[in-house]
Amino acid sequence: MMKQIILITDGCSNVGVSPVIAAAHAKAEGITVNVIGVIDQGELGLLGAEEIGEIAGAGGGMSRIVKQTELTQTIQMMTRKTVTQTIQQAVNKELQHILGDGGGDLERLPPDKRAQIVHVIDELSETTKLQVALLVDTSASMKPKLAAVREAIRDLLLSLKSRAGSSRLAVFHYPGSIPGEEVEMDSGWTTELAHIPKMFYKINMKGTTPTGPALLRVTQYVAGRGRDDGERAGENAAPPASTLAPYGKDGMLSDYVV
Amino acid sequence: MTTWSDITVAPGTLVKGVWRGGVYRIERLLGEGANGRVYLVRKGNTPYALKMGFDPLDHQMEVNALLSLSRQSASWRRFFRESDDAELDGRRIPFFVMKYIDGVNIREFLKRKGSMDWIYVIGHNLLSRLAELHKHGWIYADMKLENILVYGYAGVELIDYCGLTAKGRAVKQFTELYDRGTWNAGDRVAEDSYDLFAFAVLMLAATDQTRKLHSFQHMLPQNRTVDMLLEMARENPHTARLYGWFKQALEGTFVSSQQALALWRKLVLDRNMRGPRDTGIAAPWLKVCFAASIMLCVGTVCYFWLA
Ligand SMILES: Nc1ncnc2c1ncn2[C@@H]1O[C@H](COP(=O)(O)OP(=O)(O)O)[C@@H](O)[C@H]1O
Ligand SMILES: [Mg+2]
Repeated sequence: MMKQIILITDGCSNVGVSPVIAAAHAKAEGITVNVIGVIDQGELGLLGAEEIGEIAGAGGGMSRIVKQTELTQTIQMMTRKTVTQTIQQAVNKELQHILGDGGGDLERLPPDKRAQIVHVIDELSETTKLQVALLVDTSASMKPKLAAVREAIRDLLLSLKSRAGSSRLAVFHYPGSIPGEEVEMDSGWTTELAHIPKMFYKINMKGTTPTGPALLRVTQYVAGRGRDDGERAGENAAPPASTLAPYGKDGMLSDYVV
Repeated sequence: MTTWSDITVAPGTLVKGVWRGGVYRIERLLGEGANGRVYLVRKGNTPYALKMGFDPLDHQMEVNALLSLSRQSASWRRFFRESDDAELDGRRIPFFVMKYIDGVNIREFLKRKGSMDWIYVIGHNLLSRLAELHKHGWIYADMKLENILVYGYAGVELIDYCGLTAKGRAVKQFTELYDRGTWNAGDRVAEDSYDLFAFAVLMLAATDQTRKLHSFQHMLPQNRTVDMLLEMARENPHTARLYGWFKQALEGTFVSSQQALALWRKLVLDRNMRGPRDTGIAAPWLKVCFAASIMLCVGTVCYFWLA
């Protein structure tokens, strides 16, 4: 099971725990945090850009600052890259084990081996079970961008549904519509989002942006729910490095190569 | 990830494979896309196209696709030559070598030929190529003007295999304008009908002289529908005569590319040969011939009329 959170925001957090710390917690739970900063015409502001980079850094993921018209593509790309990179890292680790230091570096492998390894990465990228939680900043400045966010969600779900491995999506936004709620769930794990068009209409236009607390809550959800969702017991008990546990204790390469 | 997009590879540079030792002399840049740069190179006197990949993993996936296809089919064995790594400016850059196709994209081809009538035979050849790919269990997926070259008398070649996806898997790479998912017309599972949809949009893109398709690109995908494409196919005189075919491709009702190819051939051979000659985008020197043929034509009509 591979787990990702994609945070979509357009500015700086201003209340609660630092989102960078929250992202570090997520990573410790074996969840990758990717961040997208959405801009209109202008800039995100130096502070916002820096925060976005740091959140992704702490969450082991990537960050991009894009226009809203690029949102759909960016989310697609991030989701896909995160899957292949996570698998590549895990494969590299195994290769180092087999081939010694530096052995896992793709460029150092001879052509035939490289072809084989990449075939495995490709195969696993398609079949790995995947959970993606989207966390959407719906503070006032985001309002004009929410149509683009809805479209990106629809589009991501379409791609997830087409994968061979089972994939699910959950959607949250922050701040919550009830005062005091830092985050609200729009949809729990699902493969169908019939109600996307109605998403994010009841939003709280108050000024706070509790990115950190919201991220922490979503981390809890993503880390916790996997287990009672038909996954094998004990799978989540494994340390974060082996979030790819379904491929067996002998390592994921055993079935394919060497 | 090592990225070398800032390195320029000057004409005359020798690219030497680290593993297999092949040496290629760079002649000029042919083009660039999201995944890499393609150069015209020479080994001895033979020209080849050499693609350097930006991302080693994505690049190898494309090489793997070409390797599989070469094992399955002689025509791809002739297309793909070899893959290797180059050392340039102290950096290791993966590359592969393929057949050089001295061609242009479909739109450009039609423009140069001066007649839209070529589109039917281009479509036929491209559909045949797709059907061959499908027969071997693959979907091309990233069908678009930039990824297809037309040469000679409507010969076609698919040149970019980054999107190649095994049937039943999720489509790996696509371009929104050609993607049925973006048009709310289906999922992104690799199957014949996925490519047929993209092929239909491609034919519209190649023959569209109103820039209508282009304007759709700025429309939010949730507002796009297949009906818009169907309307285009009906309004455009070059696709209208194949409307039945477009309807099936865009609505996803062909069961296979074989069936789609059969219908295309039937419609094209039945109707196309009898239609009026298209000279809408004639080159200047062709206009003379055109004028002459109109006079002849008028002459013929008069003749019958008098008879
Ligand atoms: N075999 C070839 N012969 C001639 N030109 C080619 C060939 N392969 C690629 N090109 C040119 O290079 C461009 C980029 O190549 P492509 O493989 O599509 O890269 P990307 O995968 O990055 O999109 C193409 O649009 C085409 O113009
Ligand atoms: Mg291309």
